[in-house]
Amino acid sequence: MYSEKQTGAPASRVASLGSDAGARHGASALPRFPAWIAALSPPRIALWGLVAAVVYLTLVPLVMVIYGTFTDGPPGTDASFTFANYIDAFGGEELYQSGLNSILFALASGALSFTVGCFLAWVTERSNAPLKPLIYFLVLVPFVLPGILSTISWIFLLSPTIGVLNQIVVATLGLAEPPFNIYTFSGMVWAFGIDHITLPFFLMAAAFRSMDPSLEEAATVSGMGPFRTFYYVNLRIMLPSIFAVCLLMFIRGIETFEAPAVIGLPAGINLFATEIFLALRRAPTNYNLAGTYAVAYLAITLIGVGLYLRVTRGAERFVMITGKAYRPRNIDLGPWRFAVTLTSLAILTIAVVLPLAVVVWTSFMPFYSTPSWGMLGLATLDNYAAIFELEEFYRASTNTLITGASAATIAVLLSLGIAWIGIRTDIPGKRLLDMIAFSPIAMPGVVLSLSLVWVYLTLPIHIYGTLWILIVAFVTKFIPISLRIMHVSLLQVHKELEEAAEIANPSPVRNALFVLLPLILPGMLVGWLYVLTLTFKDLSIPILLSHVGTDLLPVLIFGLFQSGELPRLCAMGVLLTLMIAAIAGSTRWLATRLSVKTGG
Amino acid sequence: MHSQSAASVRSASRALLFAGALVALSSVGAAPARALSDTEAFYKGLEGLSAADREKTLVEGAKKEGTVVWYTTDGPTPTQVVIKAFSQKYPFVKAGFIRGKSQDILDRITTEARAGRNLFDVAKTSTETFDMYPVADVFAAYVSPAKTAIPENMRAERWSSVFTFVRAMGYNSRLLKESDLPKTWEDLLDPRWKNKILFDPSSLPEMMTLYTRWGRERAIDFVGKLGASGNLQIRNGRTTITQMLAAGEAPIGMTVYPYDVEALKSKGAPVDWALIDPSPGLLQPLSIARNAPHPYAAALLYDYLLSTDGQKVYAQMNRTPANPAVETSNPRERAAAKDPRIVFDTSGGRGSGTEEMLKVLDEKILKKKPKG
Repeated sequence: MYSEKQTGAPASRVASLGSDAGARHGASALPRFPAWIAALSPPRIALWGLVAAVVYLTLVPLVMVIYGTFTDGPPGTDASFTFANYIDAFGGEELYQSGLNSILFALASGALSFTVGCFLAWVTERSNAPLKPLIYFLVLVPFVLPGILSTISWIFLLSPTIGVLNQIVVATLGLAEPPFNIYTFSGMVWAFGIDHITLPFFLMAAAFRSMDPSLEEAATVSGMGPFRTFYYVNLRIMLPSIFAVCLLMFIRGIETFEAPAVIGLPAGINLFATEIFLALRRAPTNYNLAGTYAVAYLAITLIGVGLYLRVTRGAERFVMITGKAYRPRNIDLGPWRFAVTLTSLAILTIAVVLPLAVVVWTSFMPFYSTPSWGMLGLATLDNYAAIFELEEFYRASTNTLITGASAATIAVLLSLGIAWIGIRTDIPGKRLLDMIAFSPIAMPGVVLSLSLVWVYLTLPIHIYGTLWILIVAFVTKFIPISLRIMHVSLLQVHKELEEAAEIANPSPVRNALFVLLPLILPGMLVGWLYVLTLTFKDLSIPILLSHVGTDLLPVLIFGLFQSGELPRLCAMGVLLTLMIAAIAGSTRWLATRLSVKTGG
Repeated sequence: MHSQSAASVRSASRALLFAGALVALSSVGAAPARALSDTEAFYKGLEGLSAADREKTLVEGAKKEGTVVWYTTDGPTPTQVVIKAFSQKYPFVKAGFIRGKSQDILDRITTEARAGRNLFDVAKTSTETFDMYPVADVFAAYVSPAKTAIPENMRAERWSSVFTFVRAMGYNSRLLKESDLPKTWEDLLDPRWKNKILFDPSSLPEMMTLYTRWGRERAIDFVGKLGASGNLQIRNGRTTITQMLAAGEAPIGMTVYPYDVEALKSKGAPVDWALIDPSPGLLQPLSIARNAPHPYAAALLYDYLLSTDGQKVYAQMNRTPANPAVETSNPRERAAAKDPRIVFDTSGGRGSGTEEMLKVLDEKILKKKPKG
């Protein structure tokens, strides 16, 4: 399977001729190269349409933002050219300390999320440990809970004054001092890292699922145990996935705002995101300064993508789904399987069940108080009743589902196209295309929203006030994440397969539908579910882009938080968890069914 | 307070850079009265009508319009309660709304206005942001009999406060006795409060209150001492601070909304509030859009919110209605609003000293070093 350098070469040589128009037409005459890339066939037009769509979606706000960083007023004012935003944003010394803090924070919390997420993915996808559906469900929970809720839960658990865990440990062990303090750097890393195990879990699960077992068999035959096999075989093969996860986690860690604001501020630890928050908390939002900070994120992000693309350039060597019959095999852990399940559940109890328990507890309380038998007498269903009484809840739920599902579908399809171009063709500028499509990840939501409001208020495209503008914004904002997921999924499908299909059947549409699609469907479903769930959480987009009747759940969630209705917010968190769990459950069921079908 | 409004749409943050422009644009704003918008002309025409005729005209017009669009800074539950009450009186008007922080509403209205789109009818903003609007460009001059019930110092040509807030010291009543409470800001410097005061970083109104009452030197000197005392724990969000006080995370919160405290207290939470000298009072300005898409329904909603019925709805939610004749379920806050320790400042964060106090807050309390 390492010999495809040769099979791959002609195709890439042919495709590289696409750099000048004359040769592109000539290319169709050459054998083995998919004719529909070379000739101007409908699929090819579709492909270019897709590129145009992605470039439009991402470049429009990006150009507006970058232009805005050099002016001194929001769009629509006669602002003049200035460098003042850059001096304001990056002139202060404190930025170096907070920047360094941010990098350390992102690395540490990313490492924590990755380790836990990856381990649990391996357990659910490749081991024969029992209770997998429970593990799968629990991993999903932190992702669904509004970030503000889980961060507050960690305060209620680990605060030196009122932390329940502290009180329990002090009481049981008779300690003089509470052992944990959430208001520290490590407390912040913990709260954020453990809250973000879902993305690494998803991505690594997809990678494990499409693993060729013959390699592991070879390792087992040569006497390696499951752990050594994991280290020497699986880990190496999954390098692209690992890099994608690390990149996404790092960026998420750099830009996250909740843990730095809720835990970092009281602890006196300022991150880059805290500085931005402090700089932008004044009304009206300083569009120009916000955009200028975005440029810093953009720079970090592009370096990251550059590295990622470099690392995955040779990734063909690691391609897993080949023409061979493959079906990921579950590793028999023998009696160890119980130990593995117990370990997983222990991790998840600490990471997920405890904060969820705080949320569930609070959702039945008139106000938060340290759990006790006395307080149990105050238990009430009022908070749930209040949610169900809110007309906004039903409207927002429906809108969020429609918007989320549409945005997720579009984002996954578009990013599949971009990933396909990046991996399978040599179209000049494909790397640039990847970077452009990935760039929105660096854009703070408020900046993206403000530029979109402006674009669609002034262009004669009247989507402001409809769900479409929300879909456009979500697609733009979440293409980067689905792009990395699709890139990783597609990397694992060998070119050989498509080429074989091409020879057997020249219809590209049929091949795409019946050969490629089933192989990457699990990855697509993961990407879809992930983007859908993000739309349940992202506040920055609907807060400015929702209009009368198009309100989304995050605005309601934030409204409840802002007006001090924490117990109602917790009730809402519980309902959301159930809602997303139902969607995720059906998605997983579908993914399992489909991968079993194609795997055989 | 409206003279600077034409300038205030511009980026608020680095006023020094724009000082010249501010002066220039302010004088434009102060220029002779501008032409009336259609909405304003329509309202002007209503002024001669009797109360009954006025109501009849508005109701007939609103029936044709069928909707009204309200931008508000209220939370989800209060918004629904108020709209329900309004719909009971005027079932033929469907009231749509957009909720957000005052900053969100400001961003939205100013952006829509710059793009020349008229999408909202009525807006409830906040004292802190009101003067950052290009007031005369986005809000209508509106005279209505309903406004006369509101005290004169709580209304003007283009707005009227619908209720008021004070911001007070919150405390955990299990951890602190009333007699042990700090009485003034200076008491907060006592070392016994080491790390025990939850403090919201968005405390510019508090800073400006000190500035107004104490003068520049004393205010700046004090904020420096407060920051150096190690007594403050920065917590983002007043409602979070109130929740944390109830949970016993710290004994004191600076500052909180009394209605928020009262709501928790009525459920049995160990929280209470007290005035500290001096503290800010905030208005909740209600305005009609200068170019309202539904001017009839807009006037109905506006007048309803200021009417005795509408004011009662707010009063039931622990708010202090602007109409002093309407009784409130939170009489303590109403009394506090009249207390000499409370400073109502409508300069909306644009008064003299604002930039300086914001910088002092950043540098002395939030520990950000000076820029550039």
